[in-house]
Amino acid sequence: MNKILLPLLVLLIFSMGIVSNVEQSSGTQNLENLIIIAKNAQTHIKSDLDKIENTSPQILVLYGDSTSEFEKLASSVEQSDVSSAREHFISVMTKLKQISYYLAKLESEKLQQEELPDQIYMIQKFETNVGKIKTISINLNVDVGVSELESLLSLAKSNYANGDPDKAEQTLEQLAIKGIQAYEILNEINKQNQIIRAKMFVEKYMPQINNLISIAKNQQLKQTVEKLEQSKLQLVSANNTQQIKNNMKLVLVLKDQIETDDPGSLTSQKIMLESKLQNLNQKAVLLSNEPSEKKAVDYWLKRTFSLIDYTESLIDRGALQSAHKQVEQIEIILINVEKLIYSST
Amino acid sequence: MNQKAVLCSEKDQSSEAAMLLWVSKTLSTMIKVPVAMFVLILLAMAVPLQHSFGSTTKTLDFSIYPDGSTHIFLELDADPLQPDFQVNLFSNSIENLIVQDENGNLLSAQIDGSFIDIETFGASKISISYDTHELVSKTGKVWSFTTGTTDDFSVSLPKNSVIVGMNTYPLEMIEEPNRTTMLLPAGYTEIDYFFTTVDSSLQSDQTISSVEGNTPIIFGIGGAIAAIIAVVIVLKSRKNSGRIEVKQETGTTKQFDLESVQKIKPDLRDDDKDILAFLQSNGGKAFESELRKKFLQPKTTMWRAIRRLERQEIIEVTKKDMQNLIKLRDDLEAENE
Repeated sequence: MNKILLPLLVLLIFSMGIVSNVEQSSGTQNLENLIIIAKNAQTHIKSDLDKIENTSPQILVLYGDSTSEFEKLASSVEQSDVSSAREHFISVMTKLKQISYYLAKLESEKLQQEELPDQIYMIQKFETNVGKIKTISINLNVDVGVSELESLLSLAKSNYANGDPDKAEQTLEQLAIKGIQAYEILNEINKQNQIIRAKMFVEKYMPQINNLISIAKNQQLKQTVEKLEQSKLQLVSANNTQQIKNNMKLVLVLKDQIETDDPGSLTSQKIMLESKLQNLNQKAVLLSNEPSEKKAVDYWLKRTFSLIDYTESLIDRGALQSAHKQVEQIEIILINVEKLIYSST
Repeated sequence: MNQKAVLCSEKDQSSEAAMLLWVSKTLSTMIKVPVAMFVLILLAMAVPLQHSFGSTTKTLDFSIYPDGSTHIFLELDADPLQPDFQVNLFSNSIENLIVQDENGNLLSAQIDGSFIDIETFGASKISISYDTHELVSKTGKVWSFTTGTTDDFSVSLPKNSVIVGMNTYPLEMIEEPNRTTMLLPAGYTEIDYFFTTVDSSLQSDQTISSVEGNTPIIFGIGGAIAAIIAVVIVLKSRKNSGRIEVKQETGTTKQFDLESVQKIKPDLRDDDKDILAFLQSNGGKAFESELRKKFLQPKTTMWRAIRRLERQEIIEVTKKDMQNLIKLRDDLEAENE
């Protein structure tokens, strides 16, 4: 027994070493991917540059810089210096991007026309959506005419294959109408199922609601008991998901209130969140006034303001837990925005 | 206690007592070797998994179409005790929105700007898929994909596109014929690309050659290990060689039968059945990339489906030409019998 197990144990330790070696080589492979992408970009940009007779000297300098950055990238990869390789990769790609935008400006309208995407991709997109409808209809065990959709799809494919794009487009339009109709039927049936699911959810939660009521009674929280009883009644008689959702949310808020043993906690939590949000809004406004040319800063600030608006609406609706999560996210984003602005200055 | 006394009494007490104690410890350790081996096997298995997919359960895939629209697939965990769940979408204008729970049931959702409020009612996993035109812009012939995420994500670029600008670096990259899929780190991301009629075989050749550079050593060592393991297994299996012969016989004679499989595994998912039907019609095997293409599924979704079928021992996955080759197992029925 031992004679077999001991060598096996050694073998396993050895194979674990191999695993880490494979990981290392996979890491090297990931670095080599940087070279592949950069080299490929450079080759295509060079071929486009060669087609132009009078290239701006500035662009030629930029191309030269990208070449020297590429060499640095290659040497970093050779030395397995991950951070340096990544840095040089971004540098090469940023330079090549600038050249590609310069080249794009020189492109003629005709060329752009020629490069419009092929219709086959539209067909593929429709195929994905038909596939989704099929899966959902099987799940719901309903016939919404998937076979008709599939035959229209085949027809569009054969129209395309026969070189008749107009007919293919007509077929796709037909398919789109039928597809929307099928999806609407599925959605309607699903609404019924959703109510059943919501009622099951309530049923599952009912013992906890009863438990909450008795705890609230013990704590002599008269108002909370009343609210819980009312929500319970509404949950039992509810006939739409919105009603169930709203009442369940109220129950969850009351649950938090009982657990913290502080009837005023809801109001204080709301005030705290509002003040936090106000501070974050001020910070975001200040950051947006900072000079920065980085697109990323604009992007994240735009997203922050939209998140602030949304969080305000959550607080108004009493969804404090969700609002709290959003506030945390805003805080993280603003820290990153600060870093971005700081690094650019 | 008694055992220790017996062992010590056999040798001189003083100098070798420690040695004996060490031996006795080794003996007890040897008894625990199978447990240790099990732990080591688990560890060895866990390392590549963690490396490939990280510990997060979230999935975020962007698939860019040639017309500039983007298909987004997002999978995340939800609190089953909450009636709803809010998600921040990547765009204000979306199309083809489908929200499903872990069982594939459609979930109702209300869109509020770029936010979506999903009625989960006990769902623990949510998958959201939608299309948007807002993430890609075009200047001349250069297309630019822009997004910001708080999690690592994958991007599949359109076929025949060449990346000409990036503000970040790929963590991993998969080369399919004329198509690139990258795993990218969280953060603000800009990828610029254009379409080319130039044969992009350069990319594929380089990928293969760079992999080949590392593979002989890895496969050499791997082969040696496999050989040792094979020898051990053969030695062990000599004891019950009769049984193996029977298994080999059934393995070669039985053919894969989808209907029988469905009887044996009645809880098979419909999409898994579709994969099996395709494999059956394709001579019992196909590359993972072929399956992805056929079913137009994101990389991670197909990966999960394959692992699910592999766990149920319906298919087996082998490597061929650096790709995953999926084969139907023809000995499934025999094993269940």
